Amino acid sequence: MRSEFGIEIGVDIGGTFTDLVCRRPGHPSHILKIPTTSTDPSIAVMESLQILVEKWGIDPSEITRFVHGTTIATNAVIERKGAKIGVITTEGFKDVLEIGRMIRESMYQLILEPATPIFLAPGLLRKEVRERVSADGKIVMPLDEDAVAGAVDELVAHGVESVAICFLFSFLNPAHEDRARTLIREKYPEIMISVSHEVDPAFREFERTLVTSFDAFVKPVVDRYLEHIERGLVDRKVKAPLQVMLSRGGVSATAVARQRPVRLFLSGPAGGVIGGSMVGRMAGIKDLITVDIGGTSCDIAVVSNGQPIIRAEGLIQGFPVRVPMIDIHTLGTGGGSIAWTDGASEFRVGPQSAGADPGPASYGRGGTQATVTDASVVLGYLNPKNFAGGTVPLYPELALEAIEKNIAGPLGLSIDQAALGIHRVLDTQMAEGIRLATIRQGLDPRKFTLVALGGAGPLHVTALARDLAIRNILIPRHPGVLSARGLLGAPIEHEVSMAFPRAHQNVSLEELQTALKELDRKCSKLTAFEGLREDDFDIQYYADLCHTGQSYHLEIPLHLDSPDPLGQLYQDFLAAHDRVYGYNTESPISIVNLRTTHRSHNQVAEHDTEYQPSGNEPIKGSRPIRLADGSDVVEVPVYEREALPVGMVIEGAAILEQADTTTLIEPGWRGQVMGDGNVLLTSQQG
Amino acid sequence: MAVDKVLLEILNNHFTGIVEEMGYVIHRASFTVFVKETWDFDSALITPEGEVFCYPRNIGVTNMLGIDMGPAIRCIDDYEPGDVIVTNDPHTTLGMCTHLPDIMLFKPLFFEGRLVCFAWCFIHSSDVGGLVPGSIAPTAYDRYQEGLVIPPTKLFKAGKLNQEILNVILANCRIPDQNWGDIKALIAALNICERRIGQLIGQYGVDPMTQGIRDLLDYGEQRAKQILREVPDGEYVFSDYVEADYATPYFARIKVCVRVEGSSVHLDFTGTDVQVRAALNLPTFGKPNQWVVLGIVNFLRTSDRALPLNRGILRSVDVHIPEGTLLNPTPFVATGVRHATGYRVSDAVLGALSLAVPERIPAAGAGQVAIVLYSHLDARTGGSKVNVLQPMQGGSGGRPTKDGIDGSNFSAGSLRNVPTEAIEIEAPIIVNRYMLVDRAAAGRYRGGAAVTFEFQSLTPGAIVTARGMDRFKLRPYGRKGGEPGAMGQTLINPGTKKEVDIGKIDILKLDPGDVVRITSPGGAGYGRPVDRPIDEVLTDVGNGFVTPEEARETYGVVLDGGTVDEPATETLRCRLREESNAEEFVFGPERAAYEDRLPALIQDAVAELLVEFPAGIRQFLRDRLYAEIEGNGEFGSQPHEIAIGRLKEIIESIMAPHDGVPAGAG
Repeated sequence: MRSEFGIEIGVDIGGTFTDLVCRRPGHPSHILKIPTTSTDPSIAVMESLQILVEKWGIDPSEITRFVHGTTIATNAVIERKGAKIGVITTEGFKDVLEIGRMIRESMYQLILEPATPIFLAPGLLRKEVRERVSADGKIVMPLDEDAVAGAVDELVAHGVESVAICFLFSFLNPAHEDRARTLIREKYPEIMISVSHEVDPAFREFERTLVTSFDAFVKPVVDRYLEHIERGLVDRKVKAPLQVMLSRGGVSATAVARQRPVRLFLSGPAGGVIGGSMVGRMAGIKDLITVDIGGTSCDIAVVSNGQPIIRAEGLIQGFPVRVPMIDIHTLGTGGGSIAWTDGASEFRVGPQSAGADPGPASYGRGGTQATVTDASVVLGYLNPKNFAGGTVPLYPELALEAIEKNIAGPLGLSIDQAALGIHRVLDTQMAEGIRLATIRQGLDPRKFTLVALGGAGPLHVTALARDLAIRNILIPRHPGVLSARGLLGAPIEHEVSMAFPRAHQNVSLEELQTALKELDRKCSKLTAFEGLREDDFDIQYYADLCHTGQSYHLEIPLHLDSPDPLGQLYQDFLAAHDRVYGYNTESPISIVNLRTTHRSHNQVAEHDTEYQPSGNEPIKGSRPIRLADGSDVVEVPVYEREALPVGMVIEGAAILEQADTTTLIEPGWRGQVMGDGNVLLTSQQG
Repeated sequence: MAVDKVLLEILNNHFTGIVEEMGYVIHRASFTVFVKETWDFDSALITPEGEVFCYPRNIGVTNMLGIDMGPAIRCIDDYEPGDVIVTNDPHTTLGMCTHLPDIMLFKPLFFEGRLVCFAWCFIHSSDVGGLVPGSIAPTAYDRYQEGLVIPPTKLFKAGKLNQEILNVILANCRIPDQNWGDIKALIAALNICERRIGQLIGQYGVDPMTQGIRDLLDYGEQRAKQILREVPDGEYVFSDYVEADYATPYFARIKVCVRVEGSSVHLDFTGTDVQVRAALNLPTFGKPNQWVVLGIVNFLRTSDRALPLNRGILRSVDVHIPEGTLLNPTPFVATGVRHATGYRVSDAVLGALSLAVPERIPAAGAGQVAIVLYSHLDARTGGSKVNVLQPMQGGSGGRPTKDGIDGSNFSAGSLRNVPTEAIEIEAPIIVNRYMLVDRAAAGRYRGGAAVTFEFQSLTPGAIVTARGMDRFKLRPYGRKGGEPGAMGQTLINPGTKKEVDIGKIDILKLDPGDVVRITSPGGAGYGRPVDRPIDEVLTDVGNGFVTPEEARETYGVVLDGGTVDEPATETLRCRLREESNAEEFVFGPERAAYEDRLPALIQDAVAELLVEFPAGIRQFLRDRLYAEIEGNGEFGSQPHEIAIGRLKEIIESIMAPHDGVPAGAG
């Protein structure tokens, strides 16, 4: 732990709430949750800063780190509010972005939506120029420079702000892309440019074109946004540089993030997964499944051996964006999921959600449909007077009415049976989702510990664990703001990769070292923005590998310090292939890409372990609830989470209440309060 | 006594989780690369009687929901725990398998000696022997050219592998190691299913679970009936053609009468053409085969996105398919490319349905998936190397509320295309273009544009094959006055003196330097072009799908430079509206010309007459009759009875000389 740590701030802006965590050495953390200001998200950031000053007397000039998790890039895509962009391609390939790979989410619907992001650039804004590089990197047709000038003239006339340049095989020979950029820059210095061999230097033109186009699409938006926040921080006398969370789970200086904004897509949810792995680390547990259940969605991620599992390509709004990111599997289920009966009088839950507006019936904002949250109210799990720390009053009679009218009545069930049914069906859906998320990685969920995040996570988690035969659960001290906390626990990380399409057996160690040295040189340029020394960073190399002929690859760590780095790489690949794909063969393999990551080793400090119980009586009462086994209503103790002393043991059934969530501990589980305030639940059965 | 609704929905979610987990396991553990790319595998849970009671939502090929496993199950009469049955045989399974590369496995799942259900899965193997690598050749004319046939056989008996039968299977395939890897992946999936069903029984009890299975199927049936009840009663007739002109100058017609009565649907394929001596036959054995009911399944799934996926939804659908026809051929015919026929059956059924519910069915899409393969000599091994260049689809049809999708088609498989940057690394070619065709079928909602793929071959001895090409001579049909889609085309050396249009590819030999340009069919339009809003026409002009001339002539939008001449447009549109009528179906001149030569009624008569004759000689007789009819232009204009009498005479003269063996046969 370094002594120069001063005040550190993590701010996570979600769809509904902006969360802030403030850490001060020697003090308990401060936590804030205020409504997100969706028209200009930075307003909430500045407001929360103001509250820090007024409420806790924080001096902004003493802030040494300011880390931000943002959904700005994702929102630009969801709302189609990115920049107007143009795409310039090799002649004959201007429709690559539109044709895509022809994969469709639901193939047998007669009325489909296009599966490719045509909104990025319709045909009018896609221009082709004569040029060609062959599959061995040779220029077989020179770049038609006049055509480049003509194309960009037309694009500018159509009002584009940003241009993506995507030529075939540019990752093998970037000369034409570089030259095209120079030509555009000379003529139109104000146009932002994303170049495919820099954004994603790897083969497969659709994936590269798509990610480069997304980069161009979000670049002006992200740029303006981050500049805006930085200016606000400076105005409020914050001297610390702004850092942002990237999709891979590391943070970076904004200067770097603005160069490659396409790496920001999971900036928000990544914080939660890092937060979950911090909680696991505090408990000495390295294999975790984080389950973040909110109002409309459930995000599932797997942390294996302390590291979140990274995927080489993620789905953003269903579009395959080829940037390394934490493998987060999202289900459309949450507290707002609506229960309904269809025309054949069958009982269903989701996928429709009441969302935040009108929200569940019990919110009293005009919602009349029965949601999962309404069921939680009816079953007694939620305290109508102390929901979200008492800020959102709940109306149990509205919940009862909605369930009676929509479910219990039509199906001939009692209201309690109907409410329990809603929970049981939702829990089944989520348990199957978790099972598939781990199985796709070749992992057995039974060996993992569940970490419950989000407002609704701790309410469902024992039911999920029961279904999955998982025996351990961690309930973080603040499940509802763990994303903001994760921002402060993440290392600074930069990564640079290159295409290296070679047969493994033909590569010499010297070639590998030369290539990696070049990557390190590029990466050091990025880390230079962070104001740290070179030796503050750990360097880790990776190779993307596949069996020759395969079309998918796996990222395998490359250990140059091992006695036989290439041999070990081969063995490690076979082992990983066996885990993920269920088999391996001793057949030849190919290298696809090489990658270096530079990760700071001094930022990951857990000096946030001080936990001080409030001193109140832990048990604050009891209330009747109905348990999942459908037995009679039982009276269970209700604990105040803030008051739980370290080491306290709680037998289920019990309820823990706190401002950001409610935890339901079912019978058969025993909770223990850890030194850091987290609660570890263990199954007492079998 | 039905199980409670909550338990039913819980079971449905668990079952769905199980079949999807099986899918992931197959995808993870299978070997053949092309299969992994294209997801040509599937999984399901089956009742002891053979009904699919749970099916994956979006893993695998997802078009096998209609499969009936009953006949395959009944091929074995003593099941015991640990058995695994393997088969790829269309004949003995009565159409559960429809071509030989689909290797299917199923396993009986027991609880305390009682058969509870079957786990089932399959994978499209890249080779099961036969005439060509990959086992599928459009011109194959009997089943034995298409590879090894495995009638339902116990691969495992009570948990013990039957090594001898496995040896026989693998000895007949070109890629035995990959096949065995694929089969092992299927076995892993079956075993996981068995374990999870066991857990569910432990959790909920065997009786509630088996009752739940029955209830789920009843539920599917009820839900489907509700949807079908909204379809107006009536008889809806439609026909379409598969271009089965590989060994004959004639196309194969699919004719269907969709009879809707309350909540039941009857598909009558009387009038469908004879079986063919090419690999286009679809073996249904007269049952509501998964390919035959695909159009109905898609209609139901589109009507209710949350439809329970089990075969209960098809209980109110039945079929009549005359024997010896393209859709109910005799055993032992070639069936390798039956998917081309399957897509056309969908087009025909949906065409008929669109007469019943016009606002819910799109115009026809490109309606084909052609797998284009390139083989060349591999200098290193001396053998030949085969690469998939591109699976070609084409645009989708205009929809009642939206344009068709450019370059991509629904209900035409899950194939991914191949990146140019991957092809050029693997094969000695250079790709000149892979792009949308800059014209789309006009309509209020225009069709999706076709795709064109052009490459130059750089090596001696290269061969290109393609399976599944269709709509190269007859267009996808437009709806309500929308223009029909474009036809596919293959040009060799386009734009040079050596340019040749070769139509559908069978086997194409290339010299170094030869250029091949393959253009897929395009989707058809929906509604009259003149009703398309002006700004949408302008957008298409901007995006290059409509030229200013076409905007004027087809859409009635008069452009003056970049702006619309509004008065001129108004006048022109008025006139065009008066001149045009919103024909229900627009087939295009090619089909009109064909049916001029071979009137639909005459085709009906021929189909009816030929039912009397052995299936094996029907195509021969049909071709002779058609030739006569074409040579004698009077058939269409004659009174029907006279025409039929004449046809009978012709048949007699053909059959007479050798005691029932037709002259010139063989």
